Amino acid sequence: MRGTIHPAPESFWKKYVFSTDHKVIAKQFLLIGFTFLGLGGLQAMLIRWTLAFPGNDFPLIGRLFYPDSGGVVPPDSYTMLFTMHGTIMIFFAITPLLIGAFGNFLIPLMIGGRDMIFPKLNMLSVWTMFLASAVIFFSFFVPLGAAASGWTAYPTLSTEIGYPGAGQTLWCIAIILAGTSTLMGAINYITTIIRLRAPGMNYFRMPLTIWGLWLTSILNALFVPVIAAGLLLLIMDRSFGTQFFLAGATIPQGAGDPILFQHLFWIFGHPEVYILILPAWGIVSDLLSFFSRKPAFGAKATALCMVTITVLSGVVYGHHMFTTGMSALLTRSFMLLTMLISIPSSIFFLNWLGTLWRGAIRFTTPMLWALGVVVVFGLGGLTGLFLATTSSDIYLHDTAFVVGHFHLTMAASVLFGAFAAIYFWFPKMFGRSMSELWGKTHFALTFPPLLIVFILMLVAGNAGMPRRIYDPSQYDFLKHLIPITRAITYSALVLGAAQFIFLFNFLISLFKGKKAPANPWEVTTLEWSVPSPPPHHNFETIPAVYHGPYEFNRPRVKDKDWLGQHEQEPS
Amino acid sequence: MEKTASVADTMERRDETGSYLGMSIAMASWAMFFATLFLSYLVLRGRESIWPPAGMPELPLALPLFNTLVLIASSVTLEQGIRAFRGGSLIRYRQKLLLAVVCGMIFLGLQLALWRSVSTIGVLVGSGTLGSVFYTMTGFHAVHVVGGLIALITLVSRAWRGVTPDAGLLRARLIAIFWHFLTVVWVMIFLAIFIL
Repeated sequence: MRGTIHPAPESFWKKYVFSTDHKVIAKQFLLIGFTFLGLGGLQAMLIRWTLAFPGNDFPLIGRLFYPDSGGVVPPDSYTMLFTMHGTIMIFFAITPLLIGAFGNFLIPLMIGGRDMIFPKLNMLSVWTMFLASAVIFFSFFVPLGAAASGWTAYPTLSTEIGYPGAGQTLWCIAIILAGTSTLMGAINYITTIIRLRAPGMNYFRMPLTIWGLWLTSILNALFVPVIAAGLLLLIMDRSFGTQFFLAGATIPQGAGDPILFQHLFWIFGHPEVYILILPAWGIVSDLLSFFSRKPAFGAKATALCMVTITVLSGVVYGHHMFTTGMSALLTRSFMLLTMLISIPSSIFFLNWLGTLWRGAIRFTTPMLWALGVVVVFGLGGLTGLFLATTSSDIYLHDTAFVVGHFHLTMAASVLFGAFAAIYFWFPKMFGRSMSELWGKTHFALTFPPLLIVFILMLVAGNAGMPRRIYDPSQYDFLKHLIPITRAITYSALVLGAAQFIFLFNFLISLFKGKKAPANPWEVTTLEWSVPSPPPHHNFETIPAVYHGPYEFNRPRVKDKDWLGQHEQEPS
Repeated sequence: MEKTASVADTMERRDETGSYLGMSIAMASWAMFFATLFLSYLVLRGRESIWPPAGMPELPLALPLFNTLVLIASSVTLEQGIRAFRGGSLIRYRQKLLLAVVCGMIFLGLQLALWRSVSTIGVLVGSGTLGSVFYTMTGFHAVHVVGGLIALITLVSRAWRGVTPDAGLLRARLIAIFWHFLTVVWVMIFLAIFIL
């Protein structure tokens, strides 16, 4: 029976492993996300170490990974490291965290539903993701190792000629599986938000978090199939002898086109960066309002700006390919369309500042991370303008500037958004509170080093440091940048070490944390109207919704400064 | 007591609109998948000065044309069957459903024959862009047809167990949406590869 509700499970397996409960599935995604965040983070440390101290063994644990070279990362492994770092962080860490975990946890709770509309599809989604994770993990252990053609997997680097190892094929399979998982989630999220909103929860009364997750899902549903098809063609080329992306002397009868893959990749790839950032934008918009104790400034405009960006994100992908020799007309069109994105982005960015303006700001841990997103995303957005402009992009293409830019926008912003979400919704998810003190320490030790890392990358890139380089000390024109490279690495190591504070805070709070009340942050959205953690069916009765989520300091509401979405304003 | 009643309410509710909506989104995704294949084909074809590329034979026309008609017939009979089912005639539903499945199987058999005949005139998987495009597009489509057939066969088994329209119509309609989608995609592949 296709219902929106299913009986509470009894056995261990049904309850924790093959669960159809969106809250349990959210935690499963959280576990997958954390595991790969750790792995991707470790790879980042190895990459940074190699760049600053090429030829030196990685301290403490280097010999564990590279016993043959005495703990030094060899060049071919280095290529593998940055490839898998990008892949793992994007598809296996951030996507499961924000879209998998928080999408699942928040959508039914925030719109007043009992569960997702298709709970079995939801379970299938998490298990497909698990399968994808297994494939990507075990691809490290096949002969020649994991994929090593960059996370973009451009042919001919990614073809049989460029990389004959099975790792590259497994990489394609893992991404297709992860994409299938995301797609199942997207179908579920979109339909759930359209069909299961509580009475009175019209679209503009939805929290912006839900807007972000919804728009992300629409992009996922439309563009993940594009990369799936592109990678299937790549698998065909690698394993079945077709010639879609092969060209040149090896192909006698008519040639394929390596650039075709770049088109397919970026048709997906550009929406993908918005897929990653949209949920974070939504979460930040909500948190800024909640902790400024005033309505989100221009919430409707913010929602519409996010819609505009979603639409535009589908037609700007060419700005990744300015150096491929596209026609001048296309180049100029893509440049113009890309520049257009800065208009809605600026509007909602100003709305964020408007929300903060004269607010009674509470500097809680989630708020600090949300403010961190404002700073980091602001920087990242501004540096994007240089990459959207053809003339400066041709100079900056494939330099560390690009790496700094996209880490600020879609890595650091999204990661900060994820941390904000974890600190904010941890009490609701697990029924216990995280330590505020250690949360703030975590922020204090993460934010400054992170800024140093990526701002210095912008500087180094502008000075000519190429990305994906193994040993900068080999080149005379890069020798004077070695101090910058080392400074980045030292900061990165601090940044990496600081994450252990989070890990311990999370684990200790999970088991020993103070019991959380239903609404510890005193906010308005529906998930805080039920106990922490919520009961199996979320709401005993589906609540009626009377107004939007940003009702703070209503004059007629006595003895508290907020009014829940399910509460009527006294007359 | 009121609270438990409201839990039971939602448990009974079957959201048909939601199911159609979910299926439509899935179809939009699949359409993007096939659109990507078409785009790749057009880009590769646009790079050649003549098509088929120099030294490559023309693809056959009669067999795929006949096969297109077979698949359209399958879609039409499936639709007729579902109409009959909705009208309460389980017997006619069974007949039409079975006929649709048989047409689908004939389609797959003829696809195999098509691949054989194309390979004998010298177009192999590794024969440049023509072979790549031909086998990949028809192959991916055929894999989906296999999936669609499996879904249709589950309908057949349910129909023989005497499922009522009340319980079975939604499932039949959802699977039919997928089946019609595959027919439309095939017609487009036929036009793009064999006619254009």
